[in-house]
Amino acid sequence: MVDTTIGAAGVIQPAEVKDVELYHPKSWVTKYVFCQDAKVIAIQYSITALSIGLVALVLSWLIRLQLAFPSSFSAISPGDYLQFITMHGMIMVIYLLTALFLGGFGNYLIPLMVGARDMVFPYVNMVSYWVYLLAVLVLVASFFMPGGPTGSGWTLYPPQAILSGTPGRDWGIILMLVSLILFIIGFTMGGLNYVVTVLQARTRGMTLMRMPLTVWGIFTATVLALLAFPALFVGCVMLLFDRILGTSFFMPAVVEMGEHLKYRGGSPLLFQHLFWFFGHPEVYIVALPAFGIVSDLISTHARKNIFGYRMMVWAIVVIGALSFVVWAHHMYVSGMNPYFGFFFAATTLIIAIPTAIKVYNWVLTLWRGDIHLTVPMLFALSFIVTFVNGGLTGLFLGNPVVDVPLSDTMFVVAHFHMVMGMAPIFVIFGAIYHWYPKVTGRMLNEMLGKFHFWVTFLGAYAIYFPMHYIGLLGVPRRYFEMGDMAFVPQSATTLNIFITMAALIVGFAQMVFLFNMIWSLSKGKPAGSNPWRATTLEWQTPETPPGHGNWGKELPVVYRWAYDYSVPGAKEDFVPQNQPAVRAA
Amino acid sequence: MSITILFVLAPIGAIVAWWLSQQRLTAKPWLEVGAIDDFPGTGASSLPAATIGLGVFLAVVSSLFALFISAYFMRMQVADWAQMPAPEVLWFNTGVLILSSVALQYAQVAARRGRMEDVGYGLIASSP
Repeated sequence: MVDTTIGAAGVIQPAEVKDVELYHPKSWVTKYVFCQDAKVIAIQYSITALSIGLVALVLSWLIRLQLAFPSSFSAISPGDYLQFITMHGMIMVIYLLTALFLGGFGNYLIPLMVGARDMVFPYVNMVSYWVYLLAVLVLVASFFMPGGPTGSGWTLYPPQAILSGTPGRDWGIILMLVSLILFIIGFTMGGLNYVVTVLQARTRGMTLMRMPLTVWGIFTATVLALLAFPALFVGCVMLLFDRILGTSFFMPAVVEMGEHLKYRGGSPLLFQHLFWFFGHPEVYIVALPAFGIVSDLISTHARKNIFGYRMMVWAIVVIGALSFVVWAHHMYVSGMNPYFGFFFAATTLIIAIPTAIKVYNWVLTLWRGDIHLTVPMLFALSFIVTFVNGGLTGLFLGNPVVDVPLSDTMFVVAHFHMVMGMAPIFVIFGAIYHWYPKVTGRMLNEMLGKFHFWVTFLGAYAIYFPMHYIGLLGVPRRYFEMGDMAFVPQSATTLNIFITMAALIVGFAQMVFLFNMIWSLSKGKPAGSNPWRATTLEWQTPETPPGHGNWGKELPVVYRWAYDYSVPGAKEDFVPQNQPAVRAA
Repeated sequence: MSITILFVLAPIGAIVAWWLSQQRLTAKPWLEVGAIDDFPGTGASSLPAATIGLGVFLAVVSSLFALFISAYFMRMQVADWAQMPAPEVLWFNTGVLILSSVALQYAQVAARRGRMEDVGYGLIASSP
């Protein structure tokens, strides 16, 4: 152990970490494959998440083609369609968004931003990635099993999830549940690292209130995930028992094809409670890192300190706490006691307060800022707009009286794609454009980036604005085709074709983004160590990309908060966190 | 469900709230620029990281078990609940678990006092 001094305010971190404490890769395999360096693990997480995300993107095209041109694609059966929507939803929410924000950005940014050499448990961190990869492979395997993947909808509600009418009842649902269990085990290993690294491995001078909001967002989201994922774990294990062992935790007495099954007495509602006790915090597991990252992007690219830093931190913590007491707003139509509905509507609407504080603070940060419309900034701005749009429809759906008629319509689909589909994805894109220069040493091409941004941003609105209208008409979600329904006018069909065209175009714009990432790896403009002239520690590393151990011989020392932009009297318009104050002569 | 949440999440929430209250969350970081040689404590605990990690892990495990148990209890309340047959080895197994925990604890105490021979005995006794 290294000597540490315990001062009045707690431990003061040592300036030097002894060499033996760091893990040193000895061969190609331990450097790039079974690597314990958080930066490599982050890249592994990101590549895996983006790859499986591409699968989900293709699935969304197939969904949209079917919706726009029903009965034109003989290759897509109703069962296939259900499998597509299920896998699209599950992959996007869990295997892409959660893994990329926490496993990808968390691993890369936490040690660099708090001035640590690595995560505190590097070996556990490495295992976390490999278990995640295993979870992804199990999930992918379900596509190739007899009967295909499960088609029960991403919520996996019993009893239908394990009855024989649902596609993938034989193997798909089993592999889905096993994959989720593996994911949770892998995530828990990673999550322990993120939390303890933030708690214990901050460099000298890095108090909690000097941390960039990105770290606050990822840290709080990880705490939420560590407490919420166990609920999904329990639900998955019990559902697996119902499916394989014939227990009746969730399965009521059911008649299937005129035959009484052995199940009896189980409670499908119990599963819904467990699922949404995880499912709602999950929204914030994705949103809080996005909140944090977007705060840093806006502050850096508007050359202005974040407005109301303290309030931003408190809002993150309050949103995190409240997210545990709103889960039943996903269950208004499950026949709950009206007083329950009232309680959950109240808590749901209360969340709007800290969230609105954050939005006001972002806007006030922009106010009279020196706004540079770089690609990361464009994506950050589009996040604010999209999050507000999606959030406003959330106020509608949070009220039981409005929710009941809108429940299970395309309105809900449009709402959650805006608020937790497009909005966080915009942040991911912005963050990739922002930190790619640090990860690779080269800038992404700006022209291609702007093309990618405008097509994605305008396309997202072309897709989801009309979808709200289709939902208001009463068109239900998850239907293979509507047929001739009196309440669906011709205009809805036309709109569906329009939405599909927009979705295909947006999808292809992502290919431009992928091309940009690969092309810029060798052909991009060299970035230098701090291309955005940012204050936070990750831009102050001695090497770019940061070398093994991040900081060379000595850890950085932090003298100020993360947002000293455009300080009056300073030589430049940013003062890095590790620059000491000049003593008055 | 709501009762469990009260019992499990309330202590965890209390710990989190207590910890947050120790963290100078009302600090005004924009006014606090440090000079050279001025290193404020980070508020990190003096406990080793592994201990903190174990604590966090125990919180995760407790919420996992609490959710398992509460889901099980909720299922028990439904009318058709049938008692699980207790396997004959149940109490025997429980006894073995308790004894091996005692042996493990003995080995740990011995290790702390540097009595390596006793550590060996303890570990061997705890291994079945």
